[in-house]
Amino acid sequence: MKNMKRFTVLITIAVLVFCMASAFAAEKKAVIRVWKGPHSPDDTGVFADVIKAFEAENKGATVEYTPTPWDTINEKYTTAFASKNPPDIIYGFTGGYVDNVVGECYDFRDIFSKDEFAFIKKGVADSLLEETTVEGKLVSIPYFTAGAAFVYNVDLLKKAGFSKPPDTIEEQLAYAKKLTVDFDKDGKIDQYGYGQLSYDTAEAKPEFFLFSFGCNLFNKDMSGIDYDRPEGLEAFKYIDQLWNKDKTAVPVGLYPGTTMTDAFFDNKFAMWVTHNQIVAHLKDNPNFKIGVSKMPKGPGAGIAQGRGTYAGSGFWCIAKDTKNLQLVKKFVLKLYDPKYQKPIAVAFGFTPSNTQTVIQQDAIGKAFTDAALNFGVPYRFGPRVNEVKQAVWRAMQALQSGQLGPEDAWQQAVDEGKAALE
Amino acid sequence: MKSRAVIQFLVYLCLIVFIVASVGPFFLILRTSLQKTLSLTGSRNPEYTLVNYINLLTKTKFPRWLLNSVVFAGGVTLVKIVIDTFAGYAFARYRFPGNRLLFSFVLVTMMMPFAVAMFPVFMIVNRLRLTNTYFGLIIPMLANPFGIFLMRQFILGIPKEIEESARIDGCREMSILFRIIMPLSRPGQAVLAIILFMWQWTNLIWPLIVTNTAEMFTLTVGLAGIPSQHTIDWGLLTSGALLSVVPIIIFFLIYQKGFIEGLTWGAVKE
Amino acid sequence: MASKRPGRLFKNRNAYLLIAPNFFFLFAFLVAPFLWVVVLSFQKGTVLGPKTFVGFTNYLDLARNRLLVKSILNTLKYTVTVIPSVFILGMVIALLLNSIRRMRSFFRTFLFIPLLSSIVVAAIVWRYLVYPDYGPVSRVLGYLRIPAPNWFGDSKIVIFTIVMVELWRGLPFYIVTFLAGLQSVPREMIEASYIDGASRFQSLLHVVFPNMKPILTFCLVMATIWALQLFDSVYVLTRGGPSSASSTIVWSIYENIFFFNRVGRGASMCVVLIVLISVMTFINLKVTRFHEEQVV
Repeated sequence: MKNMKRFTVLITIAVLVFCMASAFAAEKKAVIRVWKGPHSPDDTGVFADVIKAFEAENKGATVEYTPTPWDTINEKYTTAFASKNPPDIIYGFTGGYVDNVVGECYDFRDIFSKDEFAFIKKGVADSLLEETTVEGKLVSIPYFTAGAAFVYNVDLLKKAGFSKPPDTIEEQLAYAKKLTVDFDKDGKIDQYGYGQLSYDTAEAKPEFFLFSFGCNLFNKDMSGIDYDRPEGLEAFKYIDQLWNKDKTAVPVGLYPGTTMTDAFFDNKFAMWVTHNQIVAHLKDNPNFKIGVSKMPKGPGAGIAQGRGTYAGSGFWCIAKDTKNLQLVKKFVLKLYDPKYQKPIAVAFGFTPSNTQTVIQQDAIGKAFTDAALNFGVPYRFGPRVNEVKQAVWRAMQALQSGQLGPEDAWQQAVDEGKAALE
Repeated sequence: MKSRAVIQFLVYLCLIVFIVASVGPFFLILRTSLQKTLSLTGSRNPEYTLVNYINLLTKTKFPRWLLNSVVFAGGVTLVKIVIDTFAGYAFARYRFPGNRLLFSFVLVTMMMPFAVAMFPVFMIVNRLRLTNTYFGLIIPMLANPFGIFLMRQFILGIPKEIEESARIDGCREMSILFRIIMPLSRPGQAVLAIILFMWQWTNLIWPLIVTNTAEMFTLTVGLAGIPSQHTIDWGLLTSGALLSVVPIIIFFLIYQKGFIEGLTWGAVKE
Repeated sequence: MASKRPGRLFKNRNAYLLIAPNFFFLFAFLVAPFLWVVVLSFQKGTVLGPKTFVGFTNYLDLARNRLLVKSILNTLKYTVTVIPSVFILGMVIALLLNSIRRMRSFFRTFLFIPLLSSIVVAAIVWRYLVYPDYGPVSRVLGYLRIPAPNWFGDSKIVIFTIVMVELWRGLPFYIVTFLAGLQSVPREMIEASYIDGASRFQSLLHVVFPNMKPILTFCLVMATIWALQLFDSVYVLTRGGPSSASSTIVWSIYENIFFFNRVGRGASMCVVLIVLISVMTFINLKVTRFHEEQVV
């Protein structure tokens, strides 16, 4: 009846009014939004200085820095960009999640003047620019350079009679056998020789197995895959040796996520390939003696003399849909200013890509930097790249968890990799 | 009889086992949350300390996350209780053309998982400029056919005589709705309230996509952010997990009587 | 009945008004997006990029897509495991609860608690419980000299690990619902069956369960729908691993949209999922002869 109708209409109008009110209330002034995955417990604090300096020089502008959780970073960035309301600046790294969104970011050469561009690029090697070039666009300039190196437990190696790390991958197999021990003879292995970063952290990057045998993921112009050669199969057979034949590698999934790092410090396995972030754990494990060296040499001399490893960059991208381009450019220029870049790098434990920004590094830090600069295989990224990477990872994981044999796994990687590039 | 006592004892024993399995794990992680620990391995600081909780409440935006979760889950629940009762009443009592058809339609929409719709829904919310707002959080979650289904079944179980006599006495429709149906369907609303509140309290994906700043995170999103790229602070994480479960346990304890009553009622509907 | 009175049209208008708010939201945020997804399933493209119309290509590709087939099989494996488990365990506990006199509400309250934790919390709890060597479950297995399985890394059992976590979290809902159903069976009917000489078990089978049919049907339908949509646990616990051994249909959809950037394929999988859910629900309802019982 009439009352009913009036009532419903009233409620609907009230709801709509509230909606619009809140929408208008959400209007903001010049705010620059910066998103980055957290690299420390207090990520926002690390940027406090550069933000304060920027806001002091640009009255009325504020910088809103948001650490975005790693677990959910993909959908967050993808939906933000898809909705044409993305953050103004994002931090990406070549190993990760920005593959899908870089298409919506500016080419640095298009928006910065010659002087500004030179300022940002100062000290960054030309060869590194390849890493931030996606489909012909230079979406950024490397800000941090990081790499993975061969990392091992000095004490465990010494106990097994080894005073130095393995120099070749054959030696690595022998080391792994000696380092895999069942102490109490209860049938359960208490210590493994070899380990690998967990796949669910998206840090695994086991492509270095391919590098050791001379294969890359892609060919030179990124038009096809490179591992569909016999050497690729050899790489898979090597993985099979470690995980299934010798059983000297930590079973996949036993230590999910970042607990693999905990297991390393708990002497659960002796050798692996991991990133320089691991040094952040050293202060909590003062009695642990860590060794860092270059990768054991494989037969693939064509790539980094057989010692190829992951080397990637962290960098800042500017979204095309930003509404405050001038202010954003100013902030980015500040970020790349060595005065601010240095403390940020130190706080995160990264190496600035700007080689003129020298940070103090101990022997361990130097070892990581050397691995990245001398043996790093530039890591490409982009939408199709991600799919190929996932195909390779999935195949290797299937092999390591015993679901497929080496030939089948390699074949699956090849098939799915090719399908991804169609 | 002796065997009856033995059986009773066994029954209690089984139930205690299940209780331990249900609640025990929380006590175990309580211990972890009271120690300053960065890893789960044996090498932990054995002292008991409240530092994790202090860090949780001061260094992270936990109190704000708590508020956001309450507003979000509470907002959805309150609105749904009203509109679902309305809709349930309409389907249960009115023989309007399309009743059966539209209700089947409701059942069909129950089969559309949110994961399927989340992407376009986000685009809509963004178009309306409602990202990172309470309204943006709440409004899309109001599209949930479960409540209509539930309330319809409940109201079907309410004897029609009360309404009939009220109509004969000359009561208008709106009065019947508010003075008779609403109070009588309280048990059903209690069930719905608990289920809806719980679903939104534990909702991860939607708040994650729609909120941008740490001020607007809900508890689930905030907790998900505690692990950083290479480490997990287990002490902080477990204390957050426990504190995020406590409010909803309180909510449940308050409403559980109505909840149980409601479930019993619903079972007798036909 | 009452509707034969004059002013019937008036009353119908009330009905439409009453359902309007709900249907507004349903259309705007569930149906419209779904239609958009269906349209998308006939296109090919990336999330942010241009999309081109390709007709039924996506659907044809699905049949050849090894990952999708695996996801469907995993989802079915999960559904077929979890539903009987939930019904049997839930019913057993409900019967136990129903048979005791004292402390029933105490038990019921505490058994309910796992349901209140989000999947993030459940993941924290279970990661801790089964952590190798240090987690309580691993320790207990160690004392019993049983080799601890690789819960999340063994492709043959990872689905069952997820079943375990989901059971822990979801069982309370069914326990409480079954208990309510048990308690609503009229005492007289049960007494009558005893007088007729039935044993407790027979009475259970022939009197109690048939009486609980509406509730059991409702639970079966919901349980199936929820099982087929499994995503949260996979997302938080295994990310589909190891190597898609725990990939479910919704996980596969998510992967395709957010990792592989293939929205057309993702959208077509959505449609397949909805078809699958509808088919299973239809089967469920037919098998339990739901519609014969319903009187509007």
